[in-house]
Amino acid sequence: MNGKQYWKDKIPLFLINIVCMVLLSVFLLFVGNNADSIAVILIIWTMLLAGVLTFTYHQRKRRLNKLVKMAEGLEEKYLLSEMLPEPEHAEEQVYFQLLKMASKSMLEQIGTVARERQEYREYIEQWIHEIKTPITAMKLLCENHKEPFTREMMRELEKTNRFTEQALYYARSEYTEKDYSVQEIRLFDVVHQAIADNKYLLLQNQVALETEESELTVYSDDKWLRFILDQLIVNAVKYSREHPVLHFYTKVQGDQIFLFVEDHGIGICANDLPRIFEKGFTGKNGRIRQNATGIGLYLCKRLCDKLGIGIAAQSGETGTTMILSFQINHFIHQVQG
Amino acid sequence: MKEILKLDHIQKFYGNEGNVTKAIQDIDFSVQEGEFLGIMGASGSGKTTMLNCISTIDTVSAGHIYLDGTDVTEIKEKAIAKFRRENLGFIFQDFNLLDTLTIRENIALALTINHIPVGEIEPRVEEIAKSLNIADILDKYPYQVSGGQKQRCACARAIINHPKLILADEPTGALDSHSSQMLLSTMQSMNENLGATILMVTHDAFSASYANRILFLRDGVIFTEILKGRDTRKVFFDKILNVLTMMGGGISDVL
Amino acid sequence: MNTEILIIEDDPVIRKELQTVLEGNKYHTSAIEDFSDVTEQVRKINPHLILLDIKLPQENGFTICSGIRSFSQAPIIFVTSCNTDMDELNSIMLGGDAFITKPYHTAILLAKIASLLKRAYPDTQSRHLTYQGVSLSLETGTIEAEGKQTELTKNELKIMYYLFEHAGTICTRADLIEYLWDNQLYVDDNALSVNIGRIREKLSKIGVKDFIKTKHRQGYTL
Repeated sequence: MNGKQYWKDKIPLFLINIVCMVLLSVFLLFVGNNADSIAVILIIWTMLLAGVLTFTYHQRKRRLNKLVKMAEGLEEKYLLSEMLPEPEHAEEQVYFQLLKMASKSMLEQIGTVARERQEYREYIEQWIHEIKTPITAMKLLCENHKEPFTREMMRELEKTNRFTEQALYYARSEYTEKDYSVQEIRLFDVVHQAIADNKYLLLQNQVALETEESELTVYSDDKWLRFILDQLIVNAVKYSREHPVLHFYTKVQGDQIFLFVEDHGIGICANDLPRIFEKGFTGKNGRIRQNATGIGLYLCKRLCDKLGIGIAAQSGETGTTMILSFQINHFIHQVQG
Repeated sequence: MKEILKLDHIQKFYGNEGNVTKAIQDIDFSVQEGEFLGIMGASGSGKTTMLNCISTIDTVSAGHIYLDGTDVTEIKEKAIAKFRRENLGFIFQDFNLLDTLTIRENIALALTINHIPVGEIEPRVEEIAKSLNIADILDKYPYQVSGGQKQRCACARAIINHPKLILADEPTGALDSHSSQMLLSTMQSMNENLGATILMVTHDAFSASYANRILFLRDGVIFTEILKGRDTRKVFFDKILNVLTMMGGGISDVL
Repeated sequence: MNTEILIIEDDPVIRKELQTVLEGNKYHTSAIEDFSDVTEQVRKINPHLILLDIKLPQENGFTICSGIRSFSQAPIIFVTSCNTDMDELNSIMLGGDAFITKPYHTAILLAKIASLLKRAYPDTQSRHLTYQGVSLSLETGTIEAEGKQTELTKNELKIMYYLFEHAGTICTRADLIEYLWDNQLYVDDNALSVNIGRIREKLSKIGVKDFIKTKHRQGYTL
């Protein structure tokens, strides 16, 4: 509470008191009292007044500071009105009512928006679920009638499926609740699944695949990891040269396992490199080359953050290497013996 | 079919010195005239809070509660008590009868505080006592009658003013099984024969089976809902138990 | 062995195409078309393995699985577009043996089917393929003719397995490359030619000539 303002507000009160004092003094003098007794009255009056006002000031200040501290300590400050005690003074009560009204209306607004968002998100999940049926049917039809044109259709289907998965994981990456399950998975199992997801893309672009098999396992969510690797593979193909190469290998260092996804493509220029994980960032090469939505790596980073996987990029003129790092969980290994 | 009660996306937070807890996350449902609705849920699910908000004893943090078209969240504090008196009836777990008054006087109280003319009170009390089978104890004092009879008096008091909605909070909580049964049949008959709309909060599946619709609350939201339809009470009771088991087990697939 | 696989899937296109894939891989198939009493139909057909979708018109896949488990231990593979972890957990808890999400890679599906069948019916898998006097052993990875045999590398073994399975028909280079990729052997066009060349050399060393014929611009055939 602003002390200066408080005393300024009291000025009318002081003036009235002074006027009353003067009037009383004049009256008392007039009816025959001497100056001394009047002085005593005035002094006691002044002292009482000053004492009461100062005491009230400090009391109020303490109480109001407590309220401010409460508000500062509260994370969801819009819930303040639920937490404040009912005030005793008439004016404060009115302000409290106003605060409650405002908070209520805002909570209702937030509630409406949150509900609409939730409904839309559920619609999207449902839609994604439904679209997988015709994609599966088309895939099977193509596989059963293998010809050059069905192979091209398979490529387009892979693309369709990729965008569908992207939409799904975009929706899921925004959940505040965890939507993944952690299990022990063999890294290269997921690598092979991701390669299979993009088989026709890789074959058409004549990508030479090198995989250094290893039996290393990590604790993570295999579906999310597969999606991440899908994105990295697609990127590598997008920014490749005439004889593309994609190299998968692992390394153990200290208490971390690293998975390297290396391509020998056109690389990412040094200016763009720090920004590749930003939402909507397409970079120099992206703009020149093809339609890039800029979402792929952004999603990868978000999902990696949620899973506790480190993701980094190294790039030069000879190509780009994406590095995923996993923490080795010694505790679990010890328990398993 | 008139909509007697509508809860429109209500939220309720509780706070004190340091933290705020969310008692009701988002509850939205309506009750038609003549329904007998049961609300079940574990402690902490928000059911008592919700009842308090409907009965205007507590206020919601967000959302609206409409009782027969009137938004109770907008009623000024001074008018709330009157509104409550005129429109709601209550049946509590611990009867809440006044020991210094006879049963007759206890029931009549509901009318006198609503300024019903004296001449009307007597016949109305007699009538309601007859339909609830407590005519013979009208002149006794509460300490002289059993728990079950006391609860039926509370029912009489709750319904005598023809409230729009009767709220019951664990009505069988303090009764033995025989008295519980009698009370619940009484409530059922109030609903079926006297057209009372009843909302009952309970944690007991047996009591809930007398209702014709049950809402299950968990973590401040409505988890699921089941209707009696044409089921017998026994079949409905089993269905209720199934839901409770599933809720307890934490599997999200229900029915 | 005449392996009977039962398909429980409500989309008619997927159903038909799955049957085509499986029959192309020498399995015998049947499919449920009336979804009113699935468990009873399963009991009558008594298949060796079941492909089960979760989202079905009347009962859901989980209930059906429990029903089947009351009288049969045949392997059940859940094939579905649901891919939440809850669904996967439920499928395992209710007696399913595997869980594959749509859209699936047929190669992976076939591999799963093969491995589950091997586990469930161990003595009935053939490990030898023979054509025109030449015999391929999958266990030892060797090819033999008239008492002489030679070993094959992993790539070469897979190529020969494919050719043997499609003996008499023309296998395009693309088919072969895709088949190898499905088995995680990522060869390119060049590597395929090199591998075929090496196989031919090995075959001629054991006295087999002109076993793999090149059909100009089309592919290879036995």
